[in-house]
Amino acid sequence: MNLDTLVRIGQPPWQPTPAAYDVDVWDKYDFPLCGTFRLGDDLVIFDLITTAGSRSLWAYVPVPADDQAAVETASFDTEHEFCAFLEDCFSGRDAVFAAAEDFKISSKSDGIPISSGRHALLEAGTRWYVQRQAALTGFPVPAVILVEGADDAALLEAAQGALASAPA
Amino acid sequence: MAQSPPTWVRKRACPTDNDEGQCIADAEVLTHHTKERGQFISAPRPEIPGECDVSLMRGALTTYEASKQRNGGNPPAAADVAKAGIRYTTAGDLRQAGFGVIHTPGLKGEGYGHVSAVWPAANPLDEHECEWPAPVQEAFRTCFTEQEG
Repeated sequence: MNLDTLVRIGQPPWQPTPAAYDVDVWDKYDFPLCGTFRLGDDLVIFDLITTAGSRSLWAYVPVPADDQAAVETASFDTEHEFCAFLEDCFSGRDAVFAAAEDFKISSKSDGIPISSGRHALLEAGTRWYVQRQAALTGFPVPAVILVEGADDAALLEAAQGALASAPA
Repeated sequence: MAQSPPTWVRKRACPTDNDEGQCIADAEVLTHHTKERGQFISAPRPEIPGECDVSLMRGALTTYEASKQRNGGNPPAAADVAKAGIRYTTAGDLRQAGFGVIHTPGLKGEGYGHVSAVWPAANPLDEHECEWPAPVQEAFRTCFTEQEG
């Protein structure tokens, strides 16, 4: 599918384009945190990476047609199994990232390949957002995001720091 | 006549609640978290399409633990924890006040502690109002007797 159509500025992160329908929320607290939506015949997974204040960072990946039925009927006994499944859904595929302010999307990425390593989604999302903010503001890029296989806590902190310090 | 799709609460309730059992005992403490201390949601918000429940968490969580759960399980930003607030109730207090209390772990398995408070309680899995009258909102608020942060 054309990844450019996945996300539109101004939309809520869990319905990132007006054409999205059948939003299926897998996890929430006050707001959806992850789930799926339909876009035409495609099934797309959305997932919150992190929040900082009123800002949040999200990831999107289309599900291959052959895997749609399995994704739609998936169930898990533990949160650990769920997280592993979610990681696998993004692994080795092109994802789109978006940042939101007060749950309205304010910026988005092109398609970005996600590697198969642990925390690869966090790493790719953090790298996109931090480098984007650095380019816009001139702030230095934290060294942690340039390190392959960086510690997930440090990556998360870098993402949260960039979200919090982004100009309004 | 076309059948209505299942509510989110029905679709994402744990197996016990889905089989008309009662997963969460009356004595169980529930935590209500807010990102802005003192500004708790006490009813579904009309500006969120389809929202018909209020999110709570199982157990007496600390502000950090609750902030982590609403950050998708990832450690929250320190500034967010500092600004957040929590308050506590029990499932029994909510039920006595007329609310349904359903364990809705979503896809994360039965060990995951998201809880949906719905109103009214008569058929909490399938029939709940998305607009709570002011007295209902007040009844919800008064169930929370302890507030921290």
